[in-house]
Amino acid sequence: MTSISSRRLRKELTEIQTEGCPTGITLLSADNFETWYFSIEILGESLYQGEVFKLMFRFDSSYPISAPAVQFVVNQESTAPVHPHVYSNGHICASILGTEWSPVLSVSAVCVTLQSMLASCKSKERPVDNDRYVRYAPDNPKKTRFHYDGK
Amino acid sequence: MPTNNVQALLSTNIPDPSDFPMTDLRQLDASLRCTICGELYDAPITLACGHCFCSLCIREHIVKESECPSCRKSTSEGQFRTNPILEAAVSAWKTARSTILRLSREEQDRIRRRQKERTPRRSQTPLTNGKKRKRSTSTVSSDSDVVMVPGPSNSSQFPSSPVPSKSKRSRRQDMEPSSDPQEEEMMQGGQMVNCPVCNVSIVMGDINTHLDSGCQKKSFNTSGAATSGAKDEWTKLFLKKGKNRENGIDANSATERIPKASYDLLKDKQVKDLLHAHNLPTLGDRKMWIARHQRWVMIFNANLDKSVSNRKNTKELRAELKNWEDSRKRRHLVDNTTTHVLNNQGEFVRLIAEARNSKTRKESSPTVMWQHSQDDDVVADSEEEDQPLS
Repeated sequence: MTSISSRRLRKELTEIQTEGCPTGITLLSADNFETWYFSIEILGESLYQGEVFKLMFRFDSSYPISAPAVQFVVNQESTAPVHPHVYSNGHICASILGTEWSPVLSVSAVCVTLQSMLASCKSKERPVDNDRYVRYAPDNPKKTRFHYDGK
Repeated sequence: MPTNNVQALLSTNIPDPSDFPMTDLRQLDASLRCTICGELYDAPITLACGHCFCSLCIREHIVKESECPSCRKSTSEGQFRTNPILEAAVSAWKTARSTILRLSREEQDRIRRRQKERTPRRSQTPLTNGKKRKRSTSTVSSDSDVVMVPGPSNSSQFPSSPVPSKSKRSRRQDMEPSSDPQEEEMMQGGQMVNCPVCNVSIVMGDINTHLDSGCQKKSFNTSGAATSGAKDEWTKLFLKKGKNRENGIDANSATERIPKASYDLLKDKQVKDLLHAHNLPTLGDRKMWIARHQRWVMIFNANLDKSVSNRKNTKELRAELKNWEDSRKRRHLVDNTTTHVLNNQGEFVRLIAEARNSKTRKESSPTVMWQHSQDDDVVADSEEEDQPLS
């Protein structure tokens, strides 16, 4: 028996493998249906020209009803982009990963959104409360209740 | 690179639009699939906004969020309408799918062979041109010579514009719920109203009794039977019904959806009674009973959204419930501890370090609202095809 979440993830993976990822996104690994890694870069004119970041997706059994946990990987090889909505531990404050998540969204839709979030960045800076947040941040960004005061 | 684990799962056949070599057929297949689970519609439900999902998918979603997953218009269970026409289209497609799949693959082979004969170089073009299906405009049409035209991916302009916040695809806005939905209800007699708590249709005169009973009592023509001794009678009645249903005798009773229960108002015994009423096991604790009953209500009601011939019997539904419970349990088990430790070593080390740090710091702030300005809109569009981006 395969659960709905792994069936759905399998379909997404098949699509990625047959049709390819959106431009600038590359699948690095999808060894199971719990954690996937992608590399993401912003093509064209942007503040992040030449930078490549690593994204981690974590899925639980209620995907796609509940959002995947998405964050930038921060370790020796890669860092989180300097962006007003990205904390230095890789956590992302984006409404579609929290309250605005919808089950019709997909992994590649999230990638594309994050790409455009970075592309539209006007000044490279950390969130104002970065240090405070990073000190107490839970491992899983889904456990944080971000406050979105965008439009 | 994906390793064997996923590859093994990939090799098992799960039907998907990508089975088809041609874009137009892929689109046809995709259009008959629920955008939540990606399967062909199972008991399709149409919302007031016109968007359609499998009954079970939208029921799972609506517990969390009372808006349409596609267009975010607010919705509720009372707005659910079954869509037997689409259901019929899906089952027709299910039957025809394998034939069409075979024919289209044969056709594709023939085209490729013909191409090879004419222009040997062109045949090296990959089958799909590497673009995302939904965004590419080149269609591999079956009756013409195939020339691969690159899709309109202006990757240079791509990230500059923000993602539109809402899908513009609410084509059927004129289909707002009008005054007629009650007419579609299968119940007769009296003026029907939807219970504000559980959304079940109730005869107007019975609504108070119904609400007083914590949404357990449904309307009966012999209303007013809500006396103190009625509770036990009710349980008996339910039990009897449950048994009949199992034997398939009382076919009529199976057309009634189970009302949602407001568990907070119920004592342990009453929650158990809810399970007893449907001959469900009462293993585990209160939390499990509630989860089990909730899931059962979902499965049971979703089953009623199918046309009669497609419905499963109670036994099959029970098996479904059991599968669901088993899969929830299995999630917490790790089958190979050594690889699990290896795979998560970094995580464990980090957690240990974190725990040590927090111990020395002796401070904790469990849930804080992290606030900062967010001046651009980061809402992904639900419909990729509508994105003006690439």
